[in-house]
Parts: sequence; C-alpha cells; structure tokens
Amino acid sequence: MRYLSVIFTLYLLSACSSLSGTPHRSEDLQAELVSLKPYFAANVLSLYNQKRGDDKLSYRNEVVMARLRAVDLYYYMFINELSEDHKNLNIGTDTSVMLLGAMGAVSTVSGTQAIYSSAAALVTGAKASVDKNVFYESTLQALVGQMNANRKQVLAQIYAGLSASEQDYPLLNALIDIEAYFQAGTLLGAIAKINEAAGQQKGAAEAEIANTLKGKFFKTEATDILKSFITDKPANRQRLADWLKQQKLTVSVTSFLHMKEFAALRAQAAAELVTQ
Amino acid sequence: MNGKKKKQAVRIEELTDIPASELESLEESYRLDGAIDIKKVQQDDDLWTLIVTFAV
Repeated sequence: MRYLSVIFTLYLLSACSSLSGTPHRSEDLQAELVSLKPYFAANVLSLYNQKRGDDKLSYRNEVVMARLRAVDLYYYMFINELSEDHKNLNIGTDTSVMLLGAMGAVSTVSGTQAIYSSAAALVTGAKASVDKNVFYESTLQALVGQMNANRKQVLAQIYAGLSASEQDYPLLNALIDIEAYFQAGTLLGAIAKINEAAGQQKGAAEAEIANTLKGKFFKTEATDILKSFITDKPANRQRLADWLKQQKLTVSVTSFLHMKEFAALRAQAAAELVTQ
Repeated sequence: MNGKKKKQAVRIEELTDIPASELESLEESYRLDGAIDIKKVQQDDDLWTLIVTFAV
C-alpha cells in the first residue's frame, strides 16, 4: 500500500507541473462565447428568412462571422489543452520514473528495491499507453498542422461564399460550410485527410511501377533466326514489334528474343514471320 | 493547376543472368527498342543484369 501512495503522490505532482505551448490570451474566452450565443439560437434561419435585401445579406454575414469566431475560440482552447496535457504527461511521468528509479537504487533493502522498480515499470507502462492511445505519440504536431491546413481550405470556401449574394450563398449553405469548418479542426478530420493523401501517393507510386517484366537470359534457335531476320532489314524489327502487339504482349523486341519465358512464342514468331 | 509536375509513367524490363559477352549487343538492341534508361548491374564475375526503362 505504501508504494501505491508514492505513485499516487508522484502523479499528483506531475499534474501540477504546467507548461503551455501557446501564450495566454488576455481576453476572457468563455465570456466571449456567451456573447456569441444569440447567433446559435434555433431561430436564426427564421429570422434570416424574414429579412429582405441588404438586411438579409448583412444578417447572413453577421451570423456566419459570429459562428466562425466561436469555432475558432473552441479550436484555440482545444489545441491549448492538447498541448498542455501532452507536456504535463511527459514531464510528470518522466520525473516519476527517474525518482522511482533513484529510490530503488539507493534503497538497501532488496524488497523495497523491487517495489520501487515495479512501480517505475508501472508508471512507464502507463505513460506509453496514454501516449499511444490518446496523443498519437509524436504525430501530434503533424496532426495540428493538418487541422490548420484543413481549416484554411474550408475558410477560403466560406469567404468566397460571403462575397456572393444571399441568393447564391444562402445562410443554410453557410451553416453547412461552418460545420465542415468545425470538422476540419478535429483530430479525426486530420487523420482522414492524411490517410486520403497517403492513399493517393500510394496509387501514384503503384502506377509508375505497374509494368515491370523480369526474366532470365536464355537464347534458343529461334533467337538467332529472329535476330538475323531483324538485322537483315530494319523494317523487320517493326514487323516483329507489330506481331508482339497482335499477341497482346507488352515487351520489347530485345527482351522477347532473350527471355526464357518467351522461348515457345519465339519459335512461333520465327515460324510465322521468317518463313513467309 | 496545382503546381505539381506530373510524373512520367514508365515500363521496366529486367533481364538477368546475361553473359558479359552479350552485354554490349543487348544494350544496343534495347536502345533500338526505344529505351530511355539502361542500368547495368553485375551479378558475379560473368553474369550481369540489365534494368531497362521505357516511356509509356
């Protein structure tokens, strides 16, 4: 029970250490979110539909900008928490592991050493598990970069819409785009985008090396006959190439004449082309 | 236009176990077939491999 209390205390200490990856903001984010609440009311669409002309256009823009601001604020808080949690976990658990290891080393009682060592292993295991499952290890930075890129892409689309009339870009369309903007700032959205890009790259790479032919050098009687045939008249090389096309073979004349795999077909080609 | 240059699609043929004496004539023959790149790899003292690239 005693060593459990040591672990618990170290975890509590780890929770106290705080380092932020982003600077503290001067404004009260929660207060600002409260002030934006009217733009999230269920009746925004009916209010929008009641308006006419320039009023309608300016109301659409007002709602859109307010909701964009709210999404940005939540995104900022999300990134900040993600960054702080990760740092706290690393600092706290690393310190715990070092302390437990040191306590195990200086202890003269073998039973106590074993307890400290097993406690250190437990903390290390817990840290590895949390890192892998929650924060995707060191890919966090890449994921945040991907989220920022995704958000910018959707934001450009929304700004383009806001420059259009309310008929061409009604509020409902804008709200759908804002939802996409929110989704673009999620870890799942970032992972989906990275997977999509990786899939496209894989497809391109496969397309480049799709046609690879490998064979062993193996000369036959037909090789010599066909080599004489194509060197006698340059046009005969083209005749042999055309014959290969007719056979639906994607292979150069040289490989056809020298690869073991084509031995039987070479005899057929010699019979059909040279004896004509 | 996304600014990225589209990569050229290629077809590769790899002929292995080539006696050294045949190497030069095979290279010449592959060039007549329109090869855009030919790489020679020595397997051992006598045998070679030719890796030939064709544009698709």
